[in-house]
Amino acid sequence: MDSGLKLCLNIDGDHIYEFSGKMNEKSMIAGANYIEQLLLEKSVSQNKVQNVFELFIETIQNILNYSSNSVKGDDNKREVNCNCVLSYFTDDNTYILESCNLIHKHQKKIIEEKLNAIRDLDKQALRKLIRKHSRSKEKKHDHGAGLGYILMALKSTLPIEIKFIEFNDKTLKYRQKLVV
Amino acid sequence: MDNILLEESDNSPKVIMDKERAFIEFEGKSYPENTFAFYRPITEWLKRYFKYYADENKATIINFKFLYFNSATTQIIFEILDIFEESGLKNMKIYWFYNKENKNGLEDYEDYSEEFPMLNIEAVVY
Repeated sequence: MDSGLKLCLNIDGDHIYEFSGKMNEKSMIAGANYIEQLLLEKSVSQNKVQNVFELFIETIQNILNYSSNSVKGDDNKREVNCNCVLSYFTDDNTYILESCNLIHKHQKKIIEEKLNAIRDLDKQALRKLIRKHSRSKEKKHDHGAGLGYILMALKSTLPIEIKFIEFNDKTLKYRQKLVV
Repeated sequence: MDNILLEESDNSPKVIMDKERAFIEFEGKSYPENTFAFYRPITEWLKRYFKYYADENKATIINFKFLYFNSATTQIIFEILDIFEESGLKNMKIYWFYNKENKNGLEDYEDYSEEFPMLNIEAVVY
């Protein structure tokens, strides 16, 4: 594991899930099922369980698809070194999903443009945008529909926080924080 | 054309596409690693079904029983509803199932039904 990817978190809530290492489809499914089970056992509302579950999936699938250090494993599935932490804060009943992975430098501009385009949109506007994008047949590609950040913004209760940190001349550390 | 019967997996839904019964159903979670590749045979089946097998004398029943789904599945659902709409078939009943405690399920239903008013998608709250 690349220690440069280690997340430093200042958490006053419970760590519900913490992953540091090689993420692949299998570990993503295991993580998602674990989180779902745990939240259901805590009698968390169905709505919140769904939002946390889907934000986790969207985050990890983005990491698998777009990380600069993504490689194919023995089963021809993608594997990526990354960090991901889900925490719960009792004070305001919120869940925070933080992740860190490596991306190519050119992706910084793409991500910033996507987030700038949705930054000031309310939930209704985000739903309209999803419908518009979904009916546009041009934006589809093998990794997804290009809707990832819009759906993340829709399911988060606060704006998506991101940070880019210099890693080497071609690569950045990409940190993302989602609040539900 | 063979029917499609896929068992539910950890990240893909149970799929039933039965042309003799005119019955189509999706049930469970949907976030396959390559969502578009997973659904491609399904959308191809639907196009052929509406072209060669769908019958106005027998209602085609379609049930959407998704639990959780990723953003790519969202777009696939729009693509599937597009196929339904473009088919021009009148005798078709589409049901969107969602948990009564889940506001997202209602919002998804509203978005799909408003986007495709001609399909008269019905909500089934459980």
